[in-house]
Amino acid sequence: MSDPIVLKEEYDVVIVGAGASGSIVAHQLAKAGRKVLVLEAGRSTRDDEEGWASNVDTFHRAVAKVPNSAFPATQMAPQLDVLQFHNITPGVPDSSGYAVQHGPLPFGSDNNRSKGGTTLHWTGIALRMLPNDFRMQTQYGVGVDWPISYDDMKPYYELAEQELGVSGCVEEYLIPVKDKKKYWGDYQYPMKKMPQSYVDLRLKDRVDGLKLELGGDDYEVRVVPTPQARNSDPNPDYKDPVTGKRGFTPIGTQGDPLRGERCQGNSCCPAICPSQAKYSGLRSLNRAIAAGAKHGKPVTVRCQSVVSKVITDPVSGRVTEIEYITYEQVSYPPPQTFRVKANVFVISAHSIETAKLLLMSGIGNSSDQVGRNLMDHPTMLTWGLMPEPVYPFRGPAQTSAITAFRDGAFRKDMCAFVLPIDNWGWIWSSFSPEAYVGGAVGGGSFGRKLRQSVAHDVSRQIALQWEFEQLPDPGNRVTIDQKFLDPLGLPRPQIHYRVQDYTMRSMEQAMRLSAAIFKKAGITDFTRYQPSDVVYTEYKGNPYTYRGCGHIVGTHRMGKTRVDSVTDSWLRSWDHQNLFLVGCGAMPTWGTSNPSLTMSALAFRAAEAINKDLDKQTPKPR
Amino acid sequence: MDYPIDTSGQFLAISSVLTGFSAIELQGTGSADAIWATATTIVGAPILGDLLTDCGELFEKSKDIDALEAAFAKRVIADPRYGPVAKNFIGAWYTGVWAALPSAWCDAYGASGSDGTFVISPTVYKSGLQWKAFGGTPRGGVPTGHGAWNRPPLTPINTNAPKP
Repeated sequence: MSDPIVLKEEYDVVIVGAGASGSIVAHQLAKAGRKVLVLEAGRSTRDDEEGWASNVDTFHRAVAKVPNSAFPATQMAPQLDVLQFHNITPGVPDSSGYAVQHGPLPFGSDNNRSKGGTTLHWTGIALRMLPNDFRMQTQYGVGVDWPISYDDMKPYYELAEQELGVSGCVEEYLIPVKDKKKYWGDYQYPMKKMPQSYVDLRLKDRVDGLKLELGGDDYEVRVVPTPQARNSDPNPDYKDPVTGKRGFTPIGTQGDPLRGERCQGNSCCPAICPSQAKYSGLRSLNRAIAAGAKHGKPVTVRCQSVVSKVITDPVSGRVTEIEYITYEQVSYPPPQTFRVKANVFVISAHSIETAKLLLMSGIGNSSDQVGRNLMDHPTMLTWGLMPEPVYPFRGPAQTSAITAFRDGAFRKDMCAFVLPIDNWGWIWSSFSPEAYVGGAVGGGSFGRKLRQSVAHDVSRQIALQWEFEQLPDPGNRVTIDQKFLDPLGLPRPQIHYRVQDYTMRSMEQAMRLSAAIFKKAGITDFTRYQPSDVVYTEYKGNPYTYRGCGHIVGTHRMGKTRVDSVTDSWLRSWDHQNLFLVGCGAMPTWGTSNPSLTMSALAFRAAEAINKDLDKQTPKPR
Repeated sequence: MDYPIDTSGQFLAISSVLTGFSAIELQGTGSADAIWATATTIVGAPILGDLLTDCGELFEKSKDIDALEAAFAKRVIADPRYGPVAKNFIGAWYTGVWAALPSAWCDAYGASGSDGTFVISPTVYKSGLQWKAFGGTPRGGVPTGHGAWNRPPLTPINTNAPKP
C-alpha cells in the first residue's frame, strides 16, 4: 500500500463508526457547532424510499433470512454473521467465519458494518437497566459495580428514549423494582405502548398470576407490554426532557417526511423495518447532518473507510491522528491510506471492532482490560403448540415479556433473566414456517392435507425466549493475531468465549420454570436440544442449546479507577484524555436489558463530556 | 417470454392439487409464470411436457378430488422422475424458494447449471402460500397495519386438524 495521504482538512472531532452511538455523538456535537468527520468501514446505506425498498428486496432474495440479510458486508470490511457460527472442536479454533472462534463455546452474535450499524437490524427493544444492575458487587457480591448509579443515568435514559422514539407504558411495564415512584418519577414514554400481539394476549389469559419459586422466593408471572423503539401513537402526556413541552412528533421514513409511519407490522424487525417505524442509527446520523448544515459546519460522512491505526503522542499521551484505508468494491483503484488530525477522537465501532482497533494500535490498555469481559445474553428457547390458534408471524418481533426474574435475591447464586414472548412462532428454534413446510413436503405431504396441517400447527406455534445475564469474565475476550488477516491486511478478531456456571444454573432452573408455564398454559412441549444445534452444551449431564442474542457487550468497560477499567464514567480513555470509547463495550454489567438504550444514554453522556472538553480548549466567543 | 409448453390452465390445475389451494387462489398470487419459467429452465421441456400429459390423464380418470389426490400420490409424488419436481413446485408455491434437485434425480436425468437453492423472486416469496395457509404475514412484505396483530386475522382460517 502507498504512503498515507495526510488530509489538509482538520476536524474538531473524528468519529470511527457510523452506527447509533457514533451518530448520536455526531448529532450532539454538530448541534454545538463542531466540525465532525465520521468514518464508516462498511457501505453507505441508502435510506431514501427507493433505496430502502431495494434493501428490503435484498432481504427477500436471501434464502436464509437472518439479521444481516438486508445489509451484507463488503468484501473488504467483513462482519460477524450468524450463518458463520459452528460448534467448536476442543483445541481447533473455527476460522471459517470472519472472527476466529477459540471457544470453548462459539460466540453466537453478529454485528453489522454499514452506515447505520447494527441498529439496522436490531429488534428495537428499549429497556432501562434496573438499579441493582448497576451495583452487582455491592448488592449480590458478584461481578462489578458501575462507577455511576441508575439515578445518574436516569436523565440520559430520558434523552435516549426521546432520540430513539420509545413506545411504552410506565404503569403496565411491571418490573421487580422496590421504589417504582423513584425509578420512573412522573415519567411517561414519548409514545403509547405498542399493541400486544394476539399471541401475547392468549398466553397472558392463561398464565398471568402463576406463582413460580426460584431460590426460595415466589415470583408472579405477568405478561407485560415491552417498551420499544418503534413508532406507535404519540403520547400527548409526554414531557420533553429538554424543553419541557408536552407531546411528541415521531419520525418515520427518512426519504419522505410525509410518510412517517407507525409500526405497520411487517414481521421483519431484526432484519429490516420496511416502514422505517423502528429506530436505526441512520435517524441520528441524518439529524447530525442536518444540524451541521444549519451551523454552517457540515458533518462529513465517509464510508468504505476502515480505520487501521490510532496514533498517539508518546509524551502527552494524546491522540494526534487516525489512519484509515479507503477501498473500492472492484480491484482497481487499489486501497488508499489517509491520515486525519482532530482535537478529539471517538471510537464507536461496536464492542468487537473497537477493542480490535485499540489492540491493533497498542493503545489505551494500561489496565489490560481492553477486549476482556465480552458478554452476550445467551438465549435459550423453549417452544410448543398452544391448545388454540394464536396466529403468530404477525406484528413486530416482540411486544410482551415476562419480567419477574429480572431481579431478585437469587442473583447472588445465579443470573437474572427475562422472557420475551416471540411473536413469530418457531422461527428461531426451527426456521418456521419454511422448515415446517419443507419437512411436511419432504415426508410426502401435499394438497389439502398439507394446507390443513400448516394451518393447524403453525397457527398454534409459540416460543419463549429465555435471555440470561452474563457476568464480566476476563477470559471472555477479543484478541488479535497477525496470522489471521482480513482482505485489507488488518487482523481479524479472535474470540474466546464461555458461559459461566452462574448463568448455567439459571438455565437449569429455566427448564423447570418453562415446564410449569407450559403446563399452566396447556402448551404441548416440543423443545428438543441436540448436539447438532449451534450452540449446544451440557451442564450436569443435561443438554442445553442457546443462541447469541445479538447483544455484544463489554470489551472496554468503564470504571472508578484506571486499574480495572478502560475508561472513566464519561467514556474517556484513562490513558488518552482526548479519546472516547463509545458503545455497548463500555458497560461493566448490564443485567437483562437489551443494550441499545443504555448504549444510547451513554453516548449522550460522552457527547456532553466531549463538548465540555472542547469548550475548555477553545472558549466560545461571547 | 415464450415457454416451450403452453401453460394456460394446466400448470395451475396441477399446482392446485399439489398445494391444496384453488387455481383462482394460485392465479391471485401472480407467481405462476415465474415458478414455471424457473422449472422450465432447470428441469427442461421434455420432463415437464410428460408431467402435464400424464397429469391430464389423471384429471380425466379421477371422479373427484379424493380420487385425484390418491392418483397424484401414486403417479406423481411417489414417481422417481416427477416426485422431486412436484415437491419443488410445492416448495416454490409455499415458500418462494426453488430447492436444488436431489443428487439421485440429477444422476438419472441430468443437472442444469441453473439448478440450486434460491429465492425465485421477492414477489414470489411475498406471495408464498405458507403465510396464507395459517393467516400469517410474509416477512417484510404485506403488513397487517398498525395494531391489527392483536386480534385474529381478518380472513378466517380453518385451523382444525387435518383428516388422517
